[in-house]
Amino acid sequence: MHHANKHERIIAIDLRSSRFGFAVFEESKRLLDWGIKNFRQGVNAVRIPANVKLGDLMDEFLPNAVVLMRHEAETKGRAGMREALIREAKKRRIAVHFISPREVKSAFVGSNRNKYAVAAAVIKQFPELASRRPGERKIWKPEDYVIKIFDATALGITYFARFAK
Amino acid sequence: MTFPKLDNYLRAYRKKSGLSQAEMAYLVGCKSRAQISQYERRNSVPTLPTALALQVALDVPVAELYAGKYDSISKQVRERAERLAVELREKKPKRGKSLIVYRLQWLVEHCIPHFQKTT
Repeated sequence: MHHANKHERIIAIDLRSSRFGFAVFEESKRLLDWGIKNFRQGVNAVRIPANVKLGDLMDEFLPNAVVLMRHEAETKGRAGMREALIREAKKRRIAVHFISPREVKSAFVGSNRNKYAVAAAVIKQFPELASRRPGERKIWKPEDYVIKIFDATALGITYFARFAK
Repeated sequence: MTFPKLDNYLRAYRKKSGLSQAEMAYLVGCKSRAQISQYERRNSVPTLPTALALQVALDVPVAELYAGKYDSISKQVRERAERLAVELREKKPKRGKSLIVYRLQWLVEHCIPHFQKTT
């Protein structure tokens, strides 16, 4: 079994059906990179396919592990993305770890009311993300685009917290 | 398990500073942001003046910005220093022995601290 330790570089990825948010950690306290990559279909389709973007990310940062959220129910698009990611990771002999949403919530005790409260807690830990702080969501509005970065970062924090105990 | 350092940490430090690639290009005197992107993606290496400008702009020593590169170069230098030290030890000059001792001592103190223990 793979054990995380503090001397590790990981990529935490929040997968969606047509985009993903990512955060690259080097040890638990250092955030190397973060962002969102898109591969929408249709008229304005992105030409570079998802597996290439995921592969590029892995080649650039040479992580020890990739961390993903474990979902109870997967949409077809997200399942396809996940399969592509696992394939790319396997090619490079990178371990893939899954973390449940419940674990993420328990890693942010006191600030796990919703995604925005978690994002605020993430900013406390990594002030460099403050400029991307998502706006408060109104119930009739879609989720803020940048929330994926915070979901991915929270996933990474949970990954390190899981083994720090 | 440990991991090798990345060749460079330019993107990490730039993003931490909050500066865009275009702003960084302006600060270090590059023609365009594409040049900064090339440096970050390890497609090209900055010149010495640009590397020093990056150090000033990000307030991080070049050795830290290029941590992986620094590690591999310092390993090469240490290996060469070891070979040089062995050569110096084997030399039997009629004159200038003290200079050889001085050089050896300098190498051991600065480049190859572990050398004395291993040989």
